[in-house]
Amino acid sequence: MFRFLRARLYRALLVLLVGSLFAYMLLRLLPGDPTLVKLGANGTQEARDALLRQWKLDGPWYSGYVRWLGGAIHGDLGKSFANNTPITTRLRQTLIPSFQLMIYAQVVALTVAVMLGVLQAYLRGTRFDKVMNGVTSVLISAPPFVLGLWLQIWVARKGGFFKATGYVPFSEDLWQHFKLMILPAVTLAAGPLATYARLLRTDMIATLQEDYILMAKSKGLRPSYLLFRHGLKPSLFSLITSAGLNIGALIGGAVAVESTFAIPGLGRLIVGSILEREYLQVQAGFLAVVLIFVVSNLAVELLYGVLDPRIRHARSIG
Amino acid sequence: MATTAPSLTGTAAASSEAKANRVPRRFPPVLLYLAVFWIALVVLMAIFADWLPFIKHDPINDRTAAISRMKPFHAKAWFGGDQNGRDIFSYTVYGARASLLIGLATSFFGIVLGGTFGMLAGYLKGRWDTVISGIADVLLAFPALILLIGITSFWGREVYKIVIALTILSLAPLTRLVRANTLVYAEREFVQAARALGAKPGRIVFREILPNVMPVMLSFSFLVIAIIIVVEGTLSFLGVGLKANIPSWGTMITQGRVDLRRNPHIVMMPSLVLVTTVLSLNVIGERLRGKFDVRDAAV
Repeated sequence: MFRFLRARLYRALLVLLVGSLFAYMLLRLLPGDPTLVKLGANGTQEARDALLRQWKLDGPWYSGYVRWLGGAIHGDLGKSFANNTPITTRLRQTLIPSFQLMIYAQVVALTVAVMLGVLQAYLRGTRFDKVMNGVTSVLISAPPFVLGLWLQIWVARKGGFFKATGYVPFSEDLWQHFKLMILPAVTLAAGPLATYARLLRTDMIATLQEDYILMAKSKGLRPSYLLFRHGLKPSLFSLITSAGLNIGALIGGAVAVESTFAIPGLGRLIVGSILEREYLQVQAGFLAVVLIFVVSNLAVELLYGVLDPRIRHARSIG
Repeated sequence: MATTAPSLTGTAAASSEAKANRVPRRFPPVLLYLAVFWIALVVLMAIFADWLPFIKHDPINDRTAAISRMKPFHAKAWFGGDQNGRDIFSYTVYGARASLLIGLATSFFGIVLGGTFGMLAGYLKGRWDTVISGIADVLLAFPALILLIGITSFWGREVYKIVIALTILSLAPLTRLVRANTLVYAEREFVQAARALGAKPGRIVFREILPNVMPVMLSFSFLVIAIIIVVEGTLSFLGVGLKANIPSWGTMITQGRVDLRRNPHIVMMPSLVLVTTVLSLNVIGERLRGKFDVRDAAV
């Protein structure tokens, strides 16, 4: 058990180190002089050196990296070029929409996937099952940026119920908030939904062949009771694992959805900052995504190690 | 049943594949034939685009006022025209070039390198396996799309840079796949027989194991190309992919957004082609993989 915990922790730390080094090295990889953005072509050499020192880009890369990481740990990620506000403030504002979008997408995906997976397993081999297999294939094949635009074309008509873009905070207007978040959440949910439904369908088919299901059936239980009370719970394991490991991916990978629907989240901050050449913000955004990704995956893995003895056993042997 | 444990070490996608394989999914063959037909069509059009009489050969700069904002399914412009008077059909055909080229190049390098690493780890085991699997594990723990955005926007958006970045990211899953398959074949009788006859490891890997692992890698390459097409499209859509002087489906889709309400076909036509292509590749890849993959037995 402790070997399992330790191995996971080491790996998470290693990924964090490599990831933060990557975020730092991005600015060094940048061809040309990054201070040009702030100073323009006619900045003095002193001003340039001062900026490079402030951005921890002077001297060799390893010393710069250590100083930058030290600052980052203390919550200092530099200031934005345009208006000199601390980047951590901006970063914190983007986290709320990102997390909301992730949670709504998960709720949509899990709800639909449970219904679909159970029904497909129960009706396996029928026309319904086959058609739904086709539907999940299409959902997996349609990337979010395409799906988002399709929804904007088909659903978000002028003067209609759904608006194409925008974001209203939760606290400001609850109704508007959900109205605006439905389409982005559905777009982001489509891919995971299909994956979850397939996982559940496969596991549920295996469960339905167990003897105790036959026993329950022979007692004359209603199909819905049989499926949801007896069959669902033992079939949920890989679905929940997949959903857990998706948390980080849905926050970091929502870039396209956020930019299609103009939601001021983390992904949009990164892409927006790239286009505005706010390099320090990009750097900070990367660090945040890697951190969220690593921490959420670690949490899920540890939780499963605690819950399922098979995992920690397999790990500590391997 | 033991598959649940190792599936945790991979991504969600990897575990879903391992699971989905247990009960083979049967697509009606009609769908498979349609998929093969579509891919053949797209590939042929992309290859022979320069010689086809019915498309414009400079799809980015050839602007004709007559077909500006023209709706699709017109004799002069099959997919209609965009707001700049460019022929969407020609642009889409040339866009297929970029997608297919990047997808093929990436999956070629990914298979060569990932195959080598995977066979080394799976056959030699021991320290090689620890190092290679460790690196693959770490690579899989990164948010791929965000990494790519970083690489292209800071390092550059040239085609070869995008291919290198995509190859690095496709290495980890391919290495794992080949490693798992190699582990299985390394225990098979014909490999043991070769070993008993005194064959050297190099010969065993290339003459005995490689021919057996190859079909799995090739069937997986369809899925790799599908994923790469989506990722390349997403990068171009976000404005951090291919430069605007190379026709790309993602670029056309993002350019059509400004006129989404009145002329949705500018977005619709290339995105329909993109989704159909990805879907076809998935259908073919899944079908082939169901035949060849022994990963379930491996874990």
